[in-house]
Amino acid sequence: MSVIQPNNVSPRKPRNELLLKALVIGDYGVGKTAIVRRYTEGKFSSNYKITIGADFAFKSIDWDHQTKVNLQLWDIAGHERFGYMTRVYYKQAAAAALVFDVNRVDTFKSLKKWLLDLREKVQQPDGSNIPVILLANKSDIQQAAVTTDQIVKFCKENEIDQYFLCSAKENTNIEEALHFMVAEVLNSKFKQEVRESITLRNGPIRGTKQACCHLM
Amino acid sequence: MEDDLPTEYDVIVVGTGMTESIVAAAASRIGKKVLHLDSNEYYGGLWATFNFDGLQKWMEDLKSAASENKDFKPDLQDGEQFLQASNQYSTIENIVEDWFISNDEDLPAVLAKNTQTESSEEPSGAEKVDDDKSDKKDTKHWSIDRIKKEYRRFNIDLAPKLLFARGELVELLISSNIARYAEFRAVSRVATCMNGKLTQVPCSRADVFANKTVSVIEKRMLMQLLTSCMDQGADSPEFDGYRDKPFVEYLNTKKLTPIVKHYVMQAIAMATDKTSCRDGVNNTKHFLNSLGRYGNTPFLWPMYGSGELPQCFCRLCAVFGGVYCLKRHLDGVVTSGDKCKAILSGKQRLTLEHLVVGQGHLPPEIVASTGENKISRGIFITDRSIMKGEKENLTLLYYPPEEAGQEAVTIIELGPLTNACPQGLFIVHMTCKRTKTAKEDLAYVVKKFLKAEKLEKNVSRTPTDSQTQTSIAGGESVSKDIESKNPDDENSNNTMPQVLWSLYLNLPASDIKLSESAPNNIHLCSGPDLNLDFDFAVNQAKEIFKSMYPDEDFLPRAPDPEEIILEGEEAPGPKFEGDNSNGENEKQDNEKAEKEE
Repeated sequence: MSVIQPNNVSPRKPRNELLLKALVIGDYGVGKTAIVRRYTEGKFSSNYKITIGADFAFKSIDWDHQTKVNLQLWDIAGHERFGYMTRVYYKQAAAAALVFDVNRVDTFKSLKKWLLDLREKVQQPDGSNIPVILLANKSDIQQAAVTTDQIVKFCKENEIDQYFLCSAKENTNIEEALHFMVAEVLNSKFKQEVRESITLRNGPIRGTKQACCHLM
Repeated sequence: MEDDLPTEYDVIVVGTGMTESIVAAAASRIGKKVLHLDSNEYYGGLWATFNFDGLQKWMEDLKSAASENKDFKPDLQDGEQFLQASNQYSTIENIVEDWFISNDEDLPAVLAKNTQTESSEEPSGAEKVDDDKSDKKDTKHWSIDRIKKEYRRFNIDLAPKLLFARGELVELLISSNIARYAEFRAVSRVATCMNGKLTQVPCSRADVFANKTVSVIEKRMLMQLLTSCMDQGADSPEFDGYRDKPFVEYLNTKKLTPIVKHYVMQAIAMATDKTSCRDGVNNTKHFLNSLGRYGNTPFLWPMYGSGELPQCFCRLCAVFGGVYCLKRHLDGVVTSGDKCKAILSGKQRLTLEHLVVGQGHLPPEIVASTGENKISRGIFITDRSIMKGEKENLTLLYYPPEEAGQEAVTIIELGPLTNACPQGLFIVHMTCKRTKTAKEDLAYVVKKFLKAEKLEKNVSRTPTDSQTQTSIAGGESVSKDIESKNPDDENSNNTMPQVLWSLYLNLPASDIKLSESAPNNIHLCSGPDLNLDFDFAVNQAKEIFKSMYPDEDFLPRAPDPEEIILEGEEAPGPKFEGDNSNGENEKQDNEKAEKEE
C-alpha cells in the first residue's frame, strides 16, 4: 500500500528504490524520539530536543544490490501525544514500531490502545494488518517492571511479529529491530498500489495540468 | 495516557472543524503556543467524515449527548465571570435512517452463501478489475450485513464539499505546503438536467467543440458571454444596469438559445431565478477561472472525504508544536471585563491570550443571533450511477427548484475511486438550504433521480462490481433480471440507482453571530456553510488570524522534512529554503526550529 516505486531506474544498473513509511508509536516519554534519532543519526541525548516542523526522520538504506530503501520514520508529532492521531499520520503506513518503557508498567498497558487505534485506521489494501514490531525500550536500566513473559504473551495475543529488548541510550538492538521491520515489509506480499490521485503542487500556477500523480 | 495539560497558552482552539483547524495551524506556524481541543474522539466536528461504523456510533452518541448538562461552580478570582459552554448551536435534527435491502439471513440460500465470500481482495487503488474477478463478483449481493461488514471501506461525509481548482483553499494548501498531506480527485463531470434528462455539461474548450447538442452559433454565443464574464467580472460595463437585478434578466437580453442559457444558469453559474447578476457573473468567473488546472472540470474532491482537510491543518499545527487533546470537553470560559482569561476543561484552568471556538461550544450569553441558513442533508448508498458513463465518474449536479417553496439542491456522487465506498456502490450526497425537514426538502430530487423503495427479496438486480458498471449495469440488469423492459428507457425505474441505505439529517445554521458584548479575544468559527466549496471557512480563518496577529504572515510555506537541517544542540536552529525573504521571518524560524519537549 505504501511502498512507492519511483520510476528513476538508471539505465546502467537496474535498481529498485522503495519509499517506505513507518510509524513510531507509544506513550509520552518512552523514548520514541530517542530511538528515531539513534537510528537515523547515531546520536543519543537524554534531554533531546524535538525538531519543530519535521513530519518524519529519514534514513536511506542500501538493502541489497538491487534495492535501496528510503525509510521515513514518522514520530507522533511533537505533542500529538494525547492519543487520537490524525489520519494524515496513519495514511499509507507500511509498518509500525510500537514502543514502551520496560520500566514503566503504564506505558506497557497503553500499548493495547495504541495498537487498537492503529489497526482500526491502517490496513494493507487487501485488508490485512501491516507488520508491527514491539520495542521494549530503556532495557539498559536494571529495574524492568514488565517481564519477558508478559511481553511474549502480549505479542502472541496481538499478532505482533517480533519484540526487541532495546536501548536507544546504549544503542542495543535498535538497528536490528528496524532492520527486521523493513525486512517484514519487503517480505510481505505487499502490492504496489497504483493511485490515481492528484497532489497539488507549487509551480507554474497557470495552465499546469496534472495527470495522475502520486503523493508523498 | 496523561490527562494533565500544560496550563498556559497563546491560543486555545476548541473544536477541530475547518476554520478552527486552519487558525490553529496558522498560529502554531508562527511560533505561538497552541492548545487544540475537541470533545469528540474524532477530528472535524460537523465537518467530519466517518466510515459506516463510525457514522452509526456518531448517531448513537447524538441520542445520549442531549442529557449531559451539569452545573458548574468553578473557583473564580475577583471580577471574573464564568460562562458555561453549551452545545445548542451544533444540534443535529430530524435524523431519519432507512435500509432498502435485507439482511443476509433473509436472502435465498444461494445468494446468502455467496455473500460470505471475503470481499476485500480488491486493491483500493485504481487498478483495472480484470474480467475474471468481476465475473465472479457478479454473483454477490449487497445485504445489510455485507455493508456493515465492509464498514471500513466507506468514507461518509457530514459536510461534503468540493474545491475550486483556483479557489482559496487550493491556493492556501499550495502556498502553505500543507498540500503534501492531501490527495484529490478531479470531479470528472458536471451534469445538468435538461428536459428531464441528465446530460454532461461541456466544460473544456475541447468538450464544447465535441458537444453535438450545441450548434456552432450557440458555441460562439457561449464563448462570447463567457469571455465578458472572465475579463472584468461583474465590474465590466457589459453588466451596467443589471448588477443587482436577477442574472436571468441579463441573460434574457442576450437572446441566448434555451440550451446555452440552461448551461450558463444551471451548470456554470449554479444560479436560480433569484440569483443576482453580480453573483451570477462572479460564479461564472470563478468556474471558468478554475478550468484547465486539474482534470476536465473546475472541481476537486478530497480523497477519503472532506473530513481529511481539517486534519491536514491539525497535523501541521502538531508538527509545529501544537498540543492536541481529543475527547476533552470545554466546560466554560472565564471572562474578566472585556477579555476572556481562561477556559475550564477537565478540572484544569487553562489560560490564554486568544480563544478560538467552534460554534458548537459557545456559551449562549455571548451569542447575538442563531443564524438562518440551516442545512438539509441526504446521504444515499446506491448500486449504480445516476448517469451512465464509460468509466467511473465523480459527478456534480446542481438541481434548481422545480416549483416555489423548494430549494436548489447540490448533488455530489462519489464512486469507489474516491474511497467513499466499496466497488460496485456509489455514495450520493444531497445538500440544500433547510425549509422543512431534510427528508421533506429533498424529496422532490430523490424521487427524480433515485429509486428509494424497499428492494423486493425475490427480485435480483445484477450487482455492479466492475468498474464499467455504469455502462453495462443498466442494460444487463434489465435484460437478465427484469423481464420485458425496454433497456433504452433511461427513466424507467430499473435503470435508476436503487438506494440501499439512506440517511437524512438537518445541520445547524452556520451564520451565527457573536454579540457586541462578547470578549474581543473570543473568535467564533462557523460550522459548515451552504456553499459548494471551503472558501467561507478559509476566509473566516484568515480574518480571525489577522485580528489576532495583524503583523504576522498567514501560513507561510512550511519546509519539507528534507529541508530541515539538523544541527548540534547548541547551534541555532535550521534554516530552510524559500522562507528567508525577510529578516524577521528568519529569526522566528530559528527560534522555533528546535524546542525543548
